[in-house]
Amino acid sequence: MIDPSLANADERLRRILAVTDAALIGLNADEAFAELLDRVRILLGADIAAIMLLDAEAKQLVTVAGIGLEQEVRLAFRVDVGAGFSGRVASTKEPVIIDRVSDDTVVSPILRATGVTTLIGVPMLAGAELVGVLHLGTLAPRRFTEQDVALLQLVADRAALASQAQQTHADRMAALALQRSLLPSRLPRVDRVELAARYLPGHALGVGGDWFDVFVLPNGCLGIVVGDVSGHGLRAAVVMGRLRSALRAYALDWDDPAEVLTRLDRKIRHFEAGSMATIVYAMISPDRDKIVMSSAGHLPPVILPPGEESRLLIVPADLPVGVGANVDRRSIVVDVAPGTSLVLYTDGLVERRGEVIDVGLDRLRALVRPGPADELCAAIVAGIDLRAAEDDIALVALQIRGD
Amino acid sequence: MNLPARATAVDVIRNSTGATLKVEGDLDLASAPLVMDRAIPIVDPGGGELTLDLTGVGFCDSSGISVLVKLRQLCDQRGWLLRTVNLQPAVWRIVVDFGGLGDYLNVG
Repeated sequence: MIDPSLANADERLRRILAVTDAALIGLNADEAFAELLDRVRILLGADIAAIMLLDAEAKQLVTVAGIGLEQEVRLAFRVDVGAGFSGRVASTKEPVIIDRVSDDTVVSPILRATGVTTLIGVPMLAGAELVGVLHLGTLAPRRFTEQDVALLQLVADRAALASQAQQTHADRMAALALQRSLLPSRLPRVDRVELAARYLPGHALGVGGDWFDVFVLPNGCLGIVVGDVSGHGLRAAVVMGRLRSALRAYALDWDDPAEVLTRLDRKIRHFEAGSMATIVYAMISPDRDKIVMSSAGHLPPVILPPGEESRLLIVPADLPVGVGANVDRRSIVVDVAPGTSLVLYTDGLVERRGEVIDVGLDRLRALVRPGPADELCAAIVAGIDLRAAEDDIALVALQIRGD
Repeated sequence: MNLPARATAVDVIRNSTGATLKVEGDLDLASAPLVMDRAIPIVDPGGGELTLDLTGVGFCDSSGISVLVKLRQLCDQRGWLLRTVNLQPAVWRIVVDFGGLGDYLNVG
């Protein structure tokens, strides 16, 4: 007679292997979902199985894969986080078992129509973040054991990994395309100012919300912007595009950078609530003898007046835009002479773990030397240890010419 | 040298007026969701005082700043007062001096 405890151990091992074997590795997310759902349905003797993914923006779950629930998949069925059975799994981030389904425990009419009686759902987690929900159901009433829940959680973890990998790739491609379309490929030719810029995507996260912009206004003023939307990926790139565009619009109407950032702040708080960005906006006068500048929580530019040492151009730091408080924003006015160089940048250029920011700022200042703007950009990029940079880097350098 | 980030820990200490969130480790992209996850259940609709103790935080990047702002916004929504205390010099530079967030986060 077989020792029952040994049979259990073998059985557990068999089940675990069934959902983690090498064959799953080569599959994309959709294929992995289908394969995992099929296996877990068989292993646990379920009649229906489904995977819902989290749409974080909408705070809803969307059905993306299902067995016995193909119609939910076709309809891209959605449920609010917190509502119904799956919504509860999502909001608590804990497994939920319903022994007997009823109208108020299950929101999906399609699911109810299957005649399912017992439902079990587990959260799909990547670290502490919710990716989606995996659930199974049986037509006959059923007791799910602790081991069943553990197995289901294992499958959910595997599905979460597959989803993250695919989403990251798709987002990255889309964000790259968006950014390329938004960042100026060629800088404008500007009277008496030489310009150069660099955009370096970060290593760890792919693309994000950094941007730079340069534009000439109808009155001849030159506007220079460097900004950093918090977050990364496609969402940050989308918000960045909107900010860039809106700033230009306000710059046409308002001569004071502080006023422009104030209007921009109001716009982002209303239309892009939940987003936040640091920005520095400098305007160079038509005669190229003054710079007016305002900063929304952004690092100070580096200025190099002719015949002097490079220094930080300290602009009083007002709140980043999108934070949610009404702010009296301030501008400073700086007189400049021909030959002055100015460098605007994002924190990826100077911020390093284990260092006070001043170390990176000093490093940057030491690299700012007199000379053509493009050579200045090249020297900065060459002189900064890019391997240590985790973030995107946007960099604009300009020199006011004498002629 | 780029040091690998150690996992960040968040301790919750409740008291008579509200709670203290003590963060140990870097405040960055990886740890931001954890901080929010710990804060949300504490900041209940009743109102109170949330003290954010950053004694143990040596590094705070834009993701870290973002979560600090979100904590203040969460407190605003639920009638809580946020105070941020014990910032290390490196974090003070980023958050207060250059970030302009000293008043907003009630830094003390």
